[in-house]
Amino acid sequence: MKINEQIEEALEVLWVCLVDARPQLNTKSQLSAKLEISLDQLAQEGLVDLSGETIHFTQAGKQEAALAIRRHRLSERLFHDIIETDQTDMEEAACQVEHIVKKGIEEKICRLLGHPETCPHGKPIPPGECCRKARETKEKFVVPLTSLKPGECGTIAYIKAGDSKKLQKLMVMGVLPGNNIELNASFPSFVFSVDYSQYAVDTDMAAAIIVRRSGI
Amino acid sequence: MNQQSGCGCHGSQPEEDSALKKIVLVGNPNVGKSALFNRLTGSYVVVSNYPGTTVEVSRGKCQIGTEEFQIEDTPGMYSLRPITEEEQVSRDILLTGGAEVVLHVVDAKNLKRMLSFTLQLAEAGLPVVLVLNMIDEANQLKIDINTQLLEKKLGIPVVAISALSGQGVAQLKEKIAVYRQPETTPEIFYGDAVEAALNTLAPIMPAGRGLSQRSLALLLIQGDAAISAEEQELEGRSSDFLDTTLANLEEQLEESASYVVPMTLHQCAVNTCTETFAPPASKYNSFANRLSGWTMRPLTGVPILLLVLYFGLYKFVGEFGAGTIVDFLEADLFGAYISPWINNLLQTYIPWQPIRDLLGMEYGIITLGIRYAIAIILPIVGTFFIAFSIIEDTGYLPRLALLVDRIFKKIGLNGRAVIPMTLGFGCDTMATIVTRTLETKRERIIATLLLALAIPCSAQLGVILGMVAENPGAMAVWAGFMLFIFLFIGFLTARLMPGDRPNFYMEVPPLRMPRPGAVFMKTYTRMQWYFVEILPLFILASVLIWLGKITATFDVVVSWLSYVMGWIGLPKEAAVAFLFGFFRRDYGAAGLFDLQQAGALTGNQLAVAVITLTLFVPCIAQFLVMKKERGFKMACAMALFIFPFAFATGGLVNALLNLTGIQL
Ligand SMILES: [Zn+2]
Ligand SMILES: [Zn+2]
Repeated sequence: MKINEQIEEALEVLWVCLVDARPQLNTKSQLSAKLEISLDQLAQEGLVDLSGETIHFTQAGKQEAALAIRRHRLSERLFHDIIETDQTDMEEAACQVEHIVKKGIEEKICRLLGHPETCPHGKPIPPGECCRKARETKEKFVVPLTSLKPGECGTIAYIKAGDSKKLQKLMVMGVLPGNNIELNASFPSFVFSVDYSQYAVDTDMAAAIIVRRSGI
Repeated sequence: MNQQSGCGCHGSQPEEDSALKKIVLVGNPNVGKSALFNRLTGSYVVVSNYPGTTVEVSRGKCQIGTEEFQIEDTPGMYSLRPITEEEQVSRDILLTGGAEVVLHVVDAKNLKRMLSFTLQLAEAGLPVVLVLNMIDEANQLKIDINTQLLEKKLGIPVVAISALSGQGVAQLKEKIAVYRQPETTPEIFYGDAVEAALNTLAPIMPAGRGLSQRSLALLLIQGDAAISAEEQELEGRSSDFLDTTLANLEEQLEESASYVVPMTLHQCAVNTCTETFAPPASKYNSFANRLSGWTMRPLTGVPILLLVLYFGLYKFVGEFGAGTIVDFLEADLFGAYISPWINNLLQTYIPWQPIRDLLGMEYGIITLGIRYAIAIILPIVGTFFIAFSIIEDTGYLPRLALLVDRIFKKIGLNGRAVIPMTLGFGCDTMATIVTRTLETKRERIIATLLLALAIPCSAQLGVILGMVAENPGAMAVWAGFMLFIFLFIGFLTARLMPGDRPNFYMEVPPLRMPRPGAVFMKTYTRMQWYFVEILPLFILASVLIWLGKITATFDVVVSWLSYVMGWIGLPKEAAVAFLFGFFRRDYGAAGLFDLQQAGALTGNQLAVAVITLTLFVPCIAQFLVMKKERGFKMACAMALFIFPFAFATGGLVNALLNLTGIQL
C-alpha cells in the first residue's frame, strides 16, 4: 500500500513536469531530484521509458499518472468548492484523500462537481469516462456563471464565495441556491437577472456563482 | 435629549421616546426601505449606532392620523435567523418587541423570493403589514399582483406602494392607523416530526418576548446559536432535555431541520404566489429593454455615452449654462448694470478706499465673490446638477459603472467609483463627500486624490473649454494629458497602496423616464447645499484677497510665483491667476481667461497653463472637505504632492512641446 502511494505521488510529480510543463527541460538528474523514489523503480514497473536523453511515460504509465492527477485535482475541487477550506488545508487534504478515492467514488465526486475541467489552480483535470458520457448525453453540468453564454439560463447550485462578505453581497442580490438565474451579458461586466432584478458583477464575483445549466 | 433638532446629525446616542408607539421597518436590503422611511419621516431623522455594534439604525417620527409614531429603519435581513451582524441587530430589535406595527417591505416584482420572510414574521406573532414596494415597476413589467387575495391568504394587511413616487403611501398610513393585531397567529405545518418537537419545546421558551414561543422554538431547532444560548441560561432546565428532543428530531428527519424549515417556508411562499402573483404572459421586450441592453455593450454603449456627454455636458452645461446664461448674467447684468452701480454707490458714499475695495472695485466681495458665484458658478453648476439629476434618475449611472469597471480596476477602483468621478465634473467638493459610498478605505483615498488632481469641476471646465475652444491643438493636448495623468496616477497609486482588490457589484435598475418632480428636488437640494457650503467660502476668498492686497503680502507671493511661471514658460502675469486659483480653481481659470483675451498667451503657453491649472491644488472648499473626510494628515500629504506635481507637469509639457518644435 505504502509503495503504491509513493508511486502515485511520483507519477503526479512526473505528470506536472512532463505534461503540464515543457518536457524538453527535464533531464534525468533534474527529475530524480524531485522524486522520492528512484526513476529506475518506475521503469521497472513499466511506467516510464528511460532510454534516450529525456524521460517519457509509457502508455500504461501515462494512464496511471492521468488517473492519479485526476483524483488529486478532483479532490482539490471538492475541498475548495464544497467544503471551502483554505488553500493550505485544501492541498493537504487533497493529498491524503486522493489515495483512498476509488473509481466509483471518483465518478460520483466528478458528477457532483459537474465534471469540472480545471482544478482550483486552473490546471486541467484529465477527463474520465463519466465526463465523456455526460458530454454525449448532454447531462446537466454545474459550471460557474462565467461559462454561461449570454441569454442562457440556469439554476443556482451553490455559491463558492471564500469570504463571508462576498457571500453576503451575493445573497443581497438574491443569489441563493435554487433560484433561477439568467446571464444577460458577459462583457465588459457580467450582467445577470434573478427573478425580475438585474445585477452587474465583475468576473471574480461571477465565478463564485455555480450554476446548474438548464440544458441546451 | 430631544430629537427636534434632527437635521440628520450622525452619531448621537440612540434615544427611546417610550411614550410613542413604534413602527419598525424590516426587509431585505435594496427593497427601498430607506426611501419609505424618508417618505414617512420627512427630515426628522436620527442615525445612531446600535448599542455595542457598528451597525447603524435610523430613527424618526411620523404623523399618522392624529397620532405620532416613532419609526425605526432596521438593517437589511433575509430571515429571522441572522447570519451577519446587521441581521443580528435587526433580529434583536424584533426580539425586544414593543412594535405597534412591523412593516415588512418587499420588492413587489420579486415577491416570491421575499414572501417566506413575511410568513416567518407573521408566524412569529409580530404585527406585520406587508408592503409591496416598487409596485410601479412591477406594473411596468406587466406583473399582476392580487393584493386582496394575498391579504386573505396571509391573514395580514397588504399594501402596494411606490416609495419613490409616493403612490399608495396614503393607503399605507390608513392601514397603520386602523391596525389591530389579529387574535390568532397563522401557523405553517412543518411535518409531523418538526411539529412534535415544537410542541415539546415551545412551552419552555420564554414568553412575552417580541417573538412567539413557537417561533423561538423553531429558531432553536434550526440551531440558532443566540436562542439556544439564551435557553441554556434559563434556570431549572436540564440541557439534557433539550439535547434529547433535538437528537430525537434529527433522527426522524432525513435532512437537517435548518434545511427542512426554510424549504417548507419557501414552498409555502411559492404556493401563495401561484394564485396571487401573475408574471407577464410573454417575456416583455419593450424598447426600454432593448435600449437597456445597448447601454451595457461596449460597441453600442460607448456611442451612447458620447451622445449623453455631448448633449448633457457639452450642449446643455457647456453651451447653454456656461455660454448663454453666463454671458447674460456676466456681461448684460453684472457688467453693464450691477457692478457699475455698486462701484458708483461706493464712490459716492464710502470715503475710504480700503472699504471700497473690500466691497466692490476689482476684487471686492460683491464685484468679485458674489459676481463669480451668481454669474459664473450658479449657471454652470446649476445646469450640471440638472443634467446629472436627469441622468441619475434614468438609471444610466449603474450602466456606465459596469462599462468602465474593467478600466477602473486597473487604477485601484471599481466601476462604482464612476459616480463620484462623474459628479466631480460638477463640483469636486461634493464628489469628495460622495466617495463615502466606496467600500474600502483604499478606494476612498485613490478616488479623493484623483478628484483633487485630475477632475476639473464644471466651473473650471467651462472657463477652460472657453479658452481652448479656438485652439483645437491645445484642447487635444490638454484632454490627452489629463486622461493620461488620471490613468497613470491611478495606476501608480493602486500599485503603491496596499489593500484588497475591490469587488464590483451593482443593481442595474430598469431604465426609467425621469420624473420632473424628483429631478427638481435633487437639483434643488444640491444647489442649496452648494450655496450654504460654498458661497461663504467665496466671500472668504474675496476678503483674503483684499487683505493680501492691502497688506502687500499678495504682491510678495505673486513675485515668488513669477519665478515659477518663468520655469514653466508662462508670462509673469499668469502668477496672479495661479494665486487666485488657490482660493478657487475657477478664479484662476477666469484670470487666465482674461490674459488670453488680452492676447498674452501663445498656443503652447495656453496648453501649459490649462494643464497646470487643472492639476493645481484643489480649491479651499475642496481642501477643507478632504481634511474632513480623509483626515488632516492625508489631506496635507495630497496637497503637498499635488502642488509640485502640477508645476512639474506644466514644465514637462512645456519642455516637450519646445523639444518637438510643436507650435500649437
Ligand atoms: Zn491544483
Ligand atoms: Zn466526470
